[in-house]
Amino acid sequence: MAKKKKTKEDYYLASQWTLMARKLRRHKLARVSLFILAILYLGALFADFLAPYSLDEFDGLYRNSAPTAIYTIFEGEHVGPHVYKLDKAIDKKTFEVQLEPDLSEYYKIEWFVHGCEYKILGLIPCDLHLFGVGQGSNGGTGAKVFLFGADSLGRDIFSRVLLGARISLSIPFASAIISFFLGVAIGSISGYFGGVIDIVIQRIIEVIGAVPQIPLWMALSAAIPAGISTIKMYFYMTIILSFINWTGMARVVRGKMLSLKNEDYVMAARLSGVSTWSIIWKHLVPGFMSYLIVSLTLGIPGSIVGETSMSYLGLGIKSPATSWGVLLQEASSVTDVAANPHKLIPIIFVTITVLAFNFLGDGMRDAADPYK
Amino acid sequence: MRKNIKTKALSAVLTAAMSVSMLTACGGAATPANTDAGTDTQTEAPAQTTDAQTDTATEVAADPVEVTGYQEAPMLAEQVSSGKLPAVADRLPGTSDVFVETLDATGKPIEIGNYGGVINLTGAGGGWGLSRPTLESIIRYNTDGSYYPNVIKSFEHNDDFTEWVFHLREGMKWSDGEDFNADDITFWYYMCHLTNYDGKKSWAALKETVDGEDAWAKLTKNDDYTVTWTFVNPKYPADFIENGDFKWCWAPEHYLHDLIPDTEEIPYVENEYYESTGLSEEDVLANAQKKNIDAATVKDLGKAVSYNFWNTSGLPTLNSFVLSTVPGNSSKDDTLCIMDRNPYFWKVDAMGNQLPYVDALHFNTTSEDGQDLLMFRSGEIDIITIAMQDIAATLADLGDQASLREWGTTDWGAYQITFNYTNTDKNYAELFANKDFREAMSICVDRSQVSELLTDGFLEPGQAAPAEGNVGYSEEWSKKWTEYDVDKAKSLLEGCGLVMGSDGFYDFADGSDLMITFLAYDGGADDSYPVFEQYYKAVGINCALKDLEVSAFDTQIDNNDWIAVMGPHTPIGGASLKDRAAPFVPIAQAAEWYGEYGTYYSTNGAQGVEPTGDMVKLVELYDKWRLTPDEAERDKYQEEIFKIHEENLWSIGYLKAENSYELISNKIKNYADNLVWADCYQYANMAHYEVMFKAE
Amino acid sequence: MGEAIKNFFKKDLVQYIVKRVLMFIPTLILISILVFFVIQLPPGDYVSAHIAALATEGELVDADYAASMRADYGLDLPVWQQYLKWVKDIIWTPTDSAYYRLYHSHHNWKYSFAYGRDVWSVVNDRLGLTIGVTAIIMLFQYLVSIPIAVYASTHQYSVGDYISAIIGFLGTAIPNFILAIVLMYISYKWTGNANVGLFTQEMLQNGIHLYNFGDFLKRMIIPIIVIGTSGTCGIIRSVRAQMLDEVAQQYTLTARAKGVSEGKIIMKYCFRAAINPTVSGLGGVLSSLFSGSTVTALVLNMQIQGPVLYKALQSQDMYLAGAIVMIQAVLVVIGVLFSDIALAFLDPRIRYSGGGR
Repeated sequence: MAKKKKTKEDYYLASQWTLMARKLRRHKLARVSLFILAILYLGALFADFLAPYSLDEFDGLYRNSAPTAIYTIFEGEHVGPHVYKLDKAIDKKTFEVQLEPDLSEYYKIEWFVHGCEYKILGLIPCDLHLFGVGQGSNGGTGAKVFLFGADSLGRDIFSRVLLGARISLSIPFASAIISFFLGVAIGSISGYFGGVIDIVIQRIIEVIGAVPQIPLWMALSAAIPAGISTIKMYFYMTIILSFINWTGMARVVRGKMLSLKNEDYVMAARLSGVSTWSIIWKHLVPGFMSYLIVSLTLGIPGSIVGETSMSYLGLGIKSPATSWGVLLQEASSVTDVAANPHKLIPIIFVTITVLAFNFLGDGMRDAADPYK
Repeated sequence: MRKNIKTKALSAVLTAAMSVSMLTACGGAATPANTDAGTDTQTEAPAQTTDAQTDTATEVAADPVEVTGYQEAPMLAEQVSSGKLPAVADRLPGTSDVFVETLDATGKPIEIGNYGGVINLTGAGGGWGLSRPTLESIIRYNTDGSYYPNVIKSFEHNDDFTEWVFHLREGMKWSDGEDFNADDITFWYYMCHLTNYDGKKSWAALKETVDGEDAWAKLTKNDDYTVTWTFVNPKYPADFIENGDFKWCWAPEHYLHDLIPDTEEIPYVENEYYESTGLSEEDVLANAQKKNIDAATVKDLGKAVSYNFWNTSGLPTLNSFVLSTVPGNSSKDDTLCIMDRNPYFWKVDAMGNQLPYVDALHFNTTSEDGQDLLMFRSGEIDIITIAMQDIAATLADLGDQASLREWGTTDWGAYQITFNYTNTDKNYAELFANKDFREAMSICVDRSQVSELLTDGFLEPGQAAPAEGNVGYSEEWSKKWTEYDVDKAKSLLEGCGLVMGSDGFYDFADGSDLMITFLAYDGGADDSYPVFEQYYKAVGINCALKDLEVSAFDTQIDNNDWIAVMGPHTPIGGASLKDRAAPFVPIAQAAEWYGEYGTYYSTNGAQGVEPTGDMVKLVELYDKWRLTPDEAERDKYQEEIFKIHEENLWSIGYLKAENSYELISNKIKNYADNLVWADCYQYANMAHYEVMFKAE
Repeated sequence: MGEAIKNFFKKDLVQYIVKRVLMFIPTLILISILVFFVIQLPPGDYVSAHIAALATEGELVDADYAASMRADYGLDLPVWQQYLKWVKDIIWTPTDSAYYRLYHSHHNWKYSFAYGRDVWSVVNDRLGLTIGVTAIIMLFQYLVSIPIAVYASTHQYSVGDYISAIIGFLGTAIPNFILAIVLMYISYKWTGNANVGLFTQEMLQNGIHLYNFGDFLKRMIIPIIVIGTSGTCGIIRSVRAQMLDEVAQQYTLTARAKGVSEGKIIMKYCFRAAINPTVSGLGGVLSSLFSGSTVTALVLNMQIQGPVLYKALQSQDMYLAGAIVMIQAVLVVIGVLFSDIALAFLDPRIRYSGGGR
């Protein structure tokens, strides 16, 4: 009884955020999504460790090879999970490439192997990888394990998906945050001050929203100096995506501003001499923060898909830097769809991520609804 | 085995073509019916007939086929019977003037085909797309480099090469039924070409230098079917009839006479055949509009009607197929562009059947690469050009419904890089000028690994050098600097005065950073760059890739604002100097490997950078090559030019050149194999679309 | 509703409409400036792009010829002068101009360099089809998403809600270009025909008639799946949210308490819930269908405006690109304008707040 009472008290005393979190739990799909996203982001964070290979480990032998088959029995004997090296034969008349496992010796799959060097979280140097292939049973080398197969330069698609997730999962996030601040700032100014400022900002929003995305992408991409480092490219991509996305946020903020600015508590604050910025940031914005967070969440999947489209048009990140967009772009030829369907595996990751963000956003929207 | 035969043939014959002095040429595949009658045109076998194929070709050519009467396609017969079209005998030249086509470009006899059907092709991109399968030019080449008169019946020249006579085919007609005769040639020359209406007055074929000034040939009409070109200086075949630009010299006077202006920019040129039209720009554009030709400027109009004329609907031509006039199918930009058979086409097969066999060519424009592969699988497209890596997957889906046609290449190797030898930064210019640096950049790459990684081993390791079997091939050259040796590369780099910096990359001696930024265009190096980057960085060369849209790329090259190029827009070398000299010697603002040196020559020293050392030698040898009448001497100069290239390797290639491939539906017949994909042969033109037919 | 109130609303509405329409003018000016500078931003111009294309075909053009081409096209002028001339000619080309004498039109959108034709004729070629295809796809989107949204909102947090949401959102989640390629290949494997493009060759020669309309619809299947499903997500979300709002309202509870059948309630509120986002999203839908489908239209070889625009932007065919972007932008703004006016008509509160957007 006491416990129950406490819960009820909790409910009335709970902050808006606690309430949201509670309601979010009711949306099962949103909970699952949150879980999936957490795994994906953790995977991206520790990608170097989880990925058996790096982005520039090419291997001509494994070019376009399908996911490596993993065996447990070698010559009738159970030796644990192992793989075979491949044998390649080419036919110069038909241009066929035959890849057959070379069954003469086996290579055990081992945990915690030493491979290419990297820095854990960008700080601690390390060369340990979760799994990898050891030496051959006859001391041979050169066998590899490609869980998702290899791309056209013999790179591990599994590793590229993990390492590419860093860019694909963070650019949309970063750009969403930038557009969030841009949108809130500009939208608040527009809504709070009204008048000429409002009219001008409204027109700008209208115009940017009206011009189709492709010419904007192309123009903005053309403004990126070519041949720059991945970090800079990353920075520019973030800017481009947020430049196009802030207008939506600004619109929401402006609308909310309009409806809240004449509330009594705002009037009171104004009369007691609180500065305009303080009123906006401390009194008005928190009033509809939950809505903003929802729009923010729902804006991310659009950016993820946008990034893949930009890659397809050759406007975004370029190999050897890897994003999911790059991986999809590389898989988007008819020949790959026909002969190397394993290259399409990254689609699953894009799709799951976009779905997860959408459901999370929906769950949060439901949760943010004060009437429920 | 197949490959062997091809390369051998190509080799024998390209050499033959270059070394043989031809009085007039008429050997090879197709046989004009009149070879033994009329003019002094003779069949002359190439000097070195070392190859079986060439032998056959000559043999058949020496035994011309006479036809007695003509048959026509059912669709045309229908139009004749309904009175829309004159009878076939009235549409074609007489049997002594008609062109009887009996052999393909490799010298094999063609099958007698059946009429009807449509050949579906991919979209005709660019200005020349529609011309490739349809254009009929002055002469036509065989894969062995021999050639024969095509549109013209024959040609001859006087002993000192100052007069060239063209004989036309009597009774030959434009595609609208009007007579084709000497007036169409004088009209083209005086009204379209010399006025620069076609924008191509700079063609070298009709131009010469007299008293240090540019001068142009004089054209005289001898009679309705004979014209004479007269020059002051000797005009040798390589500079005239064999010149790659000089593909036509005619325009339909009856159609174009009211489209020629007389303005300040395109002024009338005094001649004895035509008077000034006196038309203003606006008049001409309005007249063009009446003929459904839309053009922004007279310059555009001139190019559309007298240069890329196959792209202009309604304009009469001499080609095998003419652009449809049905709205929606009448432009190369339309999703389905149709070229219908020319009802007045002047070629027949050995049985007297008027060509072409198929009713139309359909060009299916697609918006992205790969769609054509799907449409080929669906059977909506019959012939496609295909990249090596797509062949196996496509054939795997189609089984025996399709087959592969291999086209030889004249390129000098795949995956080329080159450097800016005229870089304004002295550090770079001096480094690139050092041959040791180029050697280091060449040997620091493990070519067999690259071959495996980028092509599954299909393209073998090589160098930027003529392919085996082509003119100028030398084994030594094609293997020069190809031995993978990291230590040697490093010591060579240090020998160039480079100093290892603290970042693990070499710096210049003065401490400034050495950074090789490779320019590339339209994503051409995106796939391969990461592989090369590893090798360069492994020997301490810091590098980056800068991919640009092609026009931005060209602009940056023109502005001399670049360091190195991966996958040049105008690669070094080609078939031979005669084919196109600009990629061999620094004479134009064209190829990356000589950059501003070429500008210097083309502007007579007004702009650009004055060449030095071996670059000057190239220019000197080229001038000698150009101005000598003696074929043997020309060959000697060309050989010397090749030697200098072998010495310097201004461009580095990593793998052997890739051949071109086309997949064809098995319904298509008479598509020869082992043709040669080269500009001088007009690419797909060599497949002779007019004789292709679709088996039922 | 009294007569006085009615009049008041009308007067108010007129004022609102006048205000919004006046605002349209500065928007238009801003758009034209942005459009012109956006298409000019990539380096180079049409002449350099054209010369590069010629070089790829092995044709060399000397610098003098390039300069004279630039002069002919007016590309040698400063950008602001080019802009003013462009706008001036579109608004009014005088009767004594060469353009008027040739085309008998006062609105000179200039030439498409790449097509060698009047820009308007190029745009016109695909306009009807673009509108038709867009309409079919929009129809599909609403037909699919409204039932899903209604089901989802009436069965909130049920398994059915989740499944329908996944289906509805899947189209958004799978990148369009790759879905398009995969579907075309599957279509080839299953039917032997990859269904590339909207038309068969036969239609491209003879046009679309009743007898081949079935084939045309067959060709529409992949575009509808790819583009249609990519837009359902937004509609489902907004309709579902509106429905949930409505269902919780006092009057719904009252209706239910009064014994009105559940089906009737849903029908009624479903309609109301659907109409609002449909109206207010008009501008957004137009924009996303025009430009959002460009990549897909490229991959599917659809003969609509998007690919023309893309190629024009690539080859720097600036007047063509400018015209298409301009027309699309204006359409979107008009769409927003209409939806604002319609919303103002439906919901008087908006008029006071100065517009919903």
